[in-house]
Amino acid sequence: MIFILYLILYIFIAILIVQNQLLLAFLAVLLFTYYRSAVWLIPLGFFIDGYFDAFFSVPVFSLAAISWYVASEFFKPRLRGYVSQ
Amino acid sequence: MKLHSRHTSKKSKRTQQIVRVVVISVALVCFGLVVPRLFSLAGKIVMAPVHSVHTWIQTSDSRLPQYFRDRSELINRIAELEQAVAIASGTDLTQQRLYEENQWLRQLLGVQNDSRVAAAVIARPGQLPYDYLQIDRGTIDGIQAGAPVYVGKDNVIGVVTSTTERYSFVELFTTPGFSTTAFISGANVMATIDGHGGGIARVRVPQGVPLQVGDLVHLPSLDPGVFGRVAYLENEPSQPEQFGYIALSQPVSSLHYVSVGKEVIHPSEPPVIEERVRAVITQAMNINTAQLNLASTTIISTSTATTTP
Repeated sequence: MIFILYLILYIFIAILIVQNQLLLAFLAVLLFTYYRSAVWLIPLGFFIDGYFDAFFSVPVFSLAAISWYVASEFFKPRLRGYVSQ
Repeated sequence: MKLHSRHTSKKSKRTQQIVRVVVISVALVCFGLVVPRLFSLAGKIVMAPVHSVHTWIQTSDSRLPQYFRDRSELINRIAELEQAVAIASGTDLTQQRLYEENQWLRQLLGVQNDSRVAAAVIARPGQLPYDYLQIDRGTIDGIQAGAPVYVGKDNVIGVVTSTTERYSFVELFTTPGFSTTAFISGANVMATIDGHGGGIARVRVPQGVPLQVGDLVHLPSLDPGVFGRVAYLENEPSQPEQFGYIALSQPVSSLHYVSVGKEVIHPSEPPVIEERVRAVITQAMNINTAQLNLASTTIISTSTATTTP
């Protein structure tokens, strides 16, 4: 059940980015990163860049997803520790 | 010690995992930059359901997408209107500043503002022939035949043609057969306006004159004398002339109050104007010899004063 919810959120992020609702997409990404892992956002970044033909110039979403993954892996343990305290 | 080493090994394992993911991802990005077509194709295939949803939201007539579309359109419209209001308020300020500056300059030049008499319109077309008005002021109130009639501050619409003690008749510039000279700003050209009837006047200008819808039409014989704006253009390139149609700023049936100037318009024929202009030029060119001597002495004395150390 919880897996389906994450899947819906994942698809929802894709729809929001395609709809150019970047602020809402960012909030959804925050949620997804907190409860799951940002590593799953990297393939999404690849697909969105492919969809927008961004590999012909600069694959912004892929690079952003990779950067976000690194940042989240750095901050997430601290944030979790702070929340559990 | 054992616990610490276990913690350290866990941390290093985690770091290794992050590095591995990053390296693979960057390698994939580089590969994507080498074969962008392959990645675009893959992206389009995988994102096909998302694209369908996107298209549905953008084009569907269903309630939900329509709601979102209307909402975003309304937000954009509100932003546009807010911008328009801001610009309009700025324009109002500019207009007010220009008006005050104009009044000040007119005072400096000694132009006297003519006093006006407010009058109510008591009969209009329907009860009267087309483009005639009857107003409730007459000679007792100082109204004379030939006085200009205004709507608002400077929008002149016609002249008083006949007057009695208690009431007067106004002939609008749009009366058929009425003809007057006007200056059209924008096109910057003098032209003749002919009344067309029904609150419409027509101006004729030759082909090639850049007449445009919205150009202001001034009556130079009146001050201030804006008649209206060109509301419609009739321009056939095969014809030697183009026509601009000017509508009154308010429909005749909506005219409730007007103001009547006390200064009478004196229609002048071209030869009379020419004579007057010639007289003014002659007067200006005639220099009084006594003034001339005085002026030259002043110039000499000034130049002497400046050259002497």
